[in-house]
Amino acid sequence: MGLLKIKLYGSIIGLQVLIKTNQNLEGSLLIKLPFYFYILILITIGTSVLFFFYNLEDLSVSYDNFFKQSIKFTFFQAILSTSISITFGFILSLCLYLSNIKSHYITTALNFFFIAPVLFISYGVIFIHGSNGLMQKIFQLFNLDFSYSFFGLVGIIYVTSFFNIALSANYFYRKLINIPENYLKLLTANKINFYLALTKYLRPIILNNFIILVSMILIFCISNFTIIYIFANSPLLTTIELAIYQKISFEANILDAVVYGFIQSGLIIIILIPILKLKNNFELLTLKQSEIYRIYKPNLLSGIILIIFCFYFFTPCLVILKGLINFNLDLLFSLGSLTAFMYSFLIAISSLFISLLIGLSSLFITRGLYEKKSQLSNFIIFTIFIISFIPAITLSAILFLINSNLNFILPNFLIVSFVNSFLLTPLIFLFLLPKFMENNKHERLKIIQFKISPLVRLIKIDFLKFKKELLIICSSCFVLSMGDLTSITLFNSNSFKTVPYLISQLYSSYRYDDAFFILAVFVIFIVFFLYSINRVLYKNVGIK
Amino acid sequence: MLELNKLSFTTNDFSAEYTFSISKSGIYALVGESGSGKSTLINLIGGFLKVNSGSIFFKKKNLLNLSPSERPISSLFQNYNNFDHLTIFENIILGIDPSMGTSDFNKNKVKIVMNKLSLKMDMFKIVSDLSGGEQQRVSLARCWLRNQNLLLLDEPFNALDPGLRKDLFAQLTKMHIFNKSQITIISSHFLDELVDIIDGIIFISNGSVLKNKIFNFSDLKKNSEFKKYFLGSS
Repeated sequence: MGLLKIKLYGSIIGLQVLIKTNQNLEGSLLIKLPFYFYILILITIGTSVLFFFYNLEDLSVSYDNFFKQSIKFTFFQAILSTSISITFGFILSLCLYLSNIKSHYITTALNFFFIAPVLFISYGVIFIHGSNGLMQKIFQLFNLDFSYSFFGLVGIIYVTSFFNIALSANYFYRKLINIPENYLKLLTANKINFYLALTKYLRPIILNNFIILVSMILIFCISNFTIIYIFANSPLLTTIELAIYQKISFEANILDAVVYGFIQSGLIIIILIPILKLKNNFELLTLKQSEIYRIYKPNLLSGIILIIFCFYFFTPCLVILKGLINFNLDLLFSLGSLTAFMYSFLIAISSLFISLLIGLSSLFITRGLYEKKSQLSNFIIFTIFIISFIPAITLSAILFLINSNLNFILPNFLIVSFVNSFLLTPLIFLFLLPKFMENNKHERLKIIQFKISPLVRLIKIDFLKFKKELLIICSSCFVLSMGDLTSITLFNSNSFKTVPYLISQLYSSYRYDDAFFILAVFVIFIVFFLYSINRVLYKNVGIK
Repeated sequence: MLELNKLSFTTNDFSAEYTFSISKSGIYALVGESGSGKSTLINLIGGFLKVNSGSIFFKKKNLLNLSPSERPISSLFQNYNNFDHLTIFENIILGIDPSMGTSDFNKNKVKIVMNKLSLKMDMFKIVSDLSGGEQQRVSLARCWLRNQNLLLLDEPFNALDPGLRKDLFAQLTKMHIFNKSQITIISSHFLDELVDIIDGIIFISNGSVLKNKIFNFSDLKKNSEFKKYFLGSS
């Protein structure tokens, strides 16, 4: 931690030097302020944890068999789910590439399935494949004596893969549609079939930065909380994240929880290292979709596989129909529901606002350092990544600890917004980084030549450059924040709850119909919201 | 030899109709303003774009019924002509053997064509390690190896230095000495550099061929539209 502090101090001094050497600084400090504030909060959190440890008389942490088992299971399920997700994601991307479906419908659908609320998909899967699910009812209808249930490991892998297949299919699909048109002409002119093209000619293009995809999915699987929380039906199926939750909720053992959190963070740092290579690959996350020249056509096999995947992705959505059948106006307009909707909305807005400020500020500083060829740009990227590997539940525990020492001065609403914003910031940073860096060399010369101030550059040049990407990532982060169930499990009260927590409460108290109804309303709101954004993006309303 | 009759292509914001015929082999320059439809014409002949109506006959054979790989054509573009991760050998041999087998027969063929184009280097060198001029020469070697009677070049040397361009134009002439029945259509903005080696000019304006015929340079110079393109409006 001491070393980290020295690095932080060094970076701030370095930044100040850079500020002084820049000739035109109007608004520069204002833009950089949120990042400095973020660094300050990181230092405060780090210092508080150290102070807490220092004051503890008993510093023994229990590394019992349960914890060892949870580490084993965390990696087992993460590796299994990552392998399945990447394999099936690749197959799905090939089928989608061969299909005649328009590319923006495909990417929109895949984006939606990736950011869909975990609770929605989890309950959707239970509704279809649970022990009293729709499939069981169909079997009974045909007198088929076949019973199965998707709880336990199968359920965990099935639901985790749902999101990650969408992510990896999106990744590979974008690679495929961005293959240079002249390559396709070359392949077709030389009669090279799709299989040969993939295995010999296009493999490096498709597998470029593949390790980053693996890292990202592994991290998602390791820091997965809600799915394990819902589907784990045995103590053997506990991940580190769930072990942390159990330490906090059932044993009130913050020390163990924080240490477990650091262990998890350490493990994730190792996996994160390939992502740090991103600085040299700004094109990785770009959304460019060239007008494609199609040479490979769909076939029977790709059609059948696509139908199977449609079944996989769309069947959980049937829970919306089930919810709407159980229409309950009294429940919808009850104080509890309205409060939950209001808080979800406010948390999503405030966490998005905080993360947007920190994200843009960090991007601005990173670009400034990169343009000056400073090694500090790596450090900024690294500090941004720090927050992505602090488990949300550990962060919540630390904030709970700080708040309790401050006599609970911080409202739960603020803490939940803050925890969510910490998770959203790396997403915003990563997603906007390519656009922020686009043409930066040529741009910089013009900025110096015409003495354009940083604030004017950000508002009049950068915003126009990435407004489409900004709208996409903001809408995605809004939905992710609204659907999050992690920190609210610790910071809820009778008067403070979000929609996911309300649904979880209704479901736990066996009010399945009410839970599905609220879920349906919630998902319809999200779909309507994303549809509106999509219209803005693709119907040229405002953005061309 | 090559005959295009009312070959039309339409998109939401562009429409073109080409008619012209080339009766003897040689090198023909395809010129015109940016966005006039030069690349569209090359893509239509190559089979990379779907024709709305009209016909393309080459040596009395209708090309429209043939897929790009079945047409007697080799194509070269401004960029992405080679697969960067593959070797010189693999990039050249894929013109006749897509499985890129390393048999002595294949190696020998590549060696011969590399010598003809003065590519004096290890054939198993990765193509991305070569200079821009050398990379284009590798692409040209592939076209040479395919030995098709119609060679379509879409601004292939635009990104190269004048010296390198001149060198590659010379290699192109050399190719014609080896294959006398070949027709080469080269789209370029450097007409003054091509004048000495070409047999005719196809001038494209607003999606059609000027007067539906092939010009020689001295005749075309008299045309006001061409003058505006070549010398500027002032």
